[in-house]
Amino acid sequence: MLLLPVALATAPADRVPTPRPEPCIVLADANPCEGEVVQSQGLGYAEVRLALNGVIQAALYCPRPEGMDEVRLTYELLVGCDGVVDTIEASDDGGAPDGYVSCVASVIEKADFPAHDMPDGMELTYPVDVAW
Amino acid sequence: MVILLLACSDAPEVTPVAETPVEQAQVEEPPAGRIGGEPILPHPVVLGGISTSDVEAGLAELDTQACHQAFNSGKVLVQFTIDNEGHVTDSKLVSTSLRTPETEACLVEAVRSATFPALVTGDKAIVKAPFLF
Repeated sequence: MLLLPVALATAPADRVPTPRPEPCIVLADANPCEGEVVQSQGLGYAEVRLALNGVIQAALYCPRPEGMDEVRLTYELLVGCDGVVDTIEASDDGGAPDGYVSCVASVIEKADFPAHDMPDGMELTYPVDVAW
Repeated sequence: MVILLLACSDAPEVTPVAETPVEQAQVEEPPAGRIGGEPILPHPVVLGGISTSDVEAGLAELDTQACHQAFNSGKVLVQFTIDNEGHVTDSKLVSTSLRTPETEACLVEAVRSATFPALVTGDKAIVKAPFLF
């Protein structure tokens, strides 16, 4: 019996679980009469880094673009207050083919962020360096 | 020990089973290569006894656009340390989507000349600040 590697036909993005949306964090109502100001904080640096580091290695399974030894990509993400990536787009493809850029994007899109308190989402930039 | 061996002499002889190759699922090699990056948040991240607004005010005094070269745009994340008197003691590039070394080096140097209010608590504050070009 020939046993094939389970992951043979697995798309890189399928190697990481799909994050579950979490309830958004709602700021407590400020009382302006008492001079209270409540400012949304969004996600912290460590939280963002942890979420991205949790998935990015799976992007190494994206097929290497022919003839490239390294590529530098930049993605712009909007992370919803439920902790799920709302939108992702490449602002710099580093000369890589569209298929590769979208493959890496599909992995990053699965980053599991904590819920936060910015109702319109939080924008962040993610420069990614890949070398083979 | 000898007695024990004799007592077991009636046990059926066990013939060694020839070793057969065991089919195993192939263990997947991790893919070759390296991948990674440092995210850039839209606001400064401050660890230590100074407020974010004080950091933003101090950075606003810098003429960072003097570092810019018109042909490029992007974001640069610089980390620096503020001592208890409000002086920058070191700065370094953490992440960039600009990828223009001259601009990034100029920015890292410019940040060293920034001054901030004295720290409220502690000996130092560490800041990661984004710059947009």
